[in-house]
Amino acid sequence: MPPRASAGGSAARGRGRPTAAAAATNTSTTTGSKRGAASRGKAGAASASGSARGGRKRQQQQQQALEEDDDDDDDMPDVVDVDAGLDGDDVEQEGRGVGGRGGGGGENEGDEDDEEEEEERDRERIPPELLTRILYEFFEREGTRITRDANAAVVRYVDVFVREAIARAAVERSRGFLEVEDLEKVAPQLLMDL
Amino acid sequence: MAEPQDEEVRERLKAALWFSIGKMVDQESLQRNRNATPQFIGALTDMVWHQIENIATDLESFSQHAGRTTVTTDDVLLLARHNQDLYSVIKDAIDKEKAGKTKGKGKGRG
Repeated sequence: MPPRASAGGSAARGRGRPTAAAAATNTSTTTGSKRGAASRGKAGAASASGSARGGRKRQQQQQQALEEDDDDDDDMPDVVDVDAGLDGDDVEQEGRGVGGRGGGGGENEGDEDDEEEEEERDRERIPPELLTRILYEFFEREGTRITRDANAAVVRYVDVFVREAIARAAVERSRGFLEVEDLEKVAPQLLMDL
Repeated sequence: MAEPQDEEVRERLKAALWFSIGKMVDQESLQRNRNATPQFIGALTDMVWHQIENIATDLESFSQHAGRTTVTTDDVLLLARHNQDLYSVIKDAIDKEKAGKTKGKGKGRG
C-alpha cells in the first residue's frame, strides 16, 4: 500500500541525508515471506537505522541487476535481490517492518508463539538485508543470487560465529572487560572450528 | 565503477556491520554480566567481515559447482560440514524458516 511504503521511506529519509525516496524504499529485498525478516521487531529496528545507510549505499552502487528468480530451485523460489523488489507486497513488507519496530516488535501475522520463536526474536541479529548487501559485494560472478532461506541461514551462521567468539573470549578473561587480546587468543581456533 | 566509490561503499557496509555486531555484543554482555571494549567490537567486526568474505566466495563456488547461479540452503549447509554442532544449528534454522513459510502461506496475505 503506497501510504505505508512512504511511511517506511520517510522514516529512513528522516534519519539521514535526503535521497530519492522511492528508490530507497524499492530497494528492499524481495522477501515475499509472510513473516518477513524485516517485521521482526529487533531486526526491524536494526535495519531501520542500519539500512537507512543501506538505502543510500544501494543507490550509490546503482547495480541494475533486476532479475526474476532462476527457476533452478523449485523448493525456494524466493531469491533475495539487492535492487529490484518492485513488487508492491515487498514494499508493504518493508513499511510494516518499520511500523513493527514502533509497535514494540510484535509479529504481525500472529504466528504461533513457540518459546523458541520468542527466543529467536529476542536475539539481536544482523539485518538480513545488510547481510545480503555484503554478500553481493563479495560475490565474484555477476549473476550470483541467494535465496531468502539461504540468506536467513547465513544470518544464523554469523550469529553463531559472533556469540561463539564472545563466549570463547569470555572464557579467556574471567572478569573485567573483554579486550582485543582475548579475541586474538581465540581467533585461530574459532576460525578453524567454524 | 570508480575505485574510491567502491571503498566508500565498503566502509559504509562495515560501519553498518559494526553497528549490528555492537548490538549483539551488548546483548551478550548483559546476559553474561561482562563488558567489551570498543576495540574488541571493532576487532570482532573485522573478523566477521573477513569471515563473510570467505563465506560468500565459498557459497558462490558451491552453487557454481552444483551448476546453479543461485545460492541455496544446501550450499549454506555445506559451509557447516566440518562442525557437527554448527551443522545442526544451521539445519534447525533452515527447517524453522521452512516451517514458518508454510504456516504463512496457509494463512494467506492480509
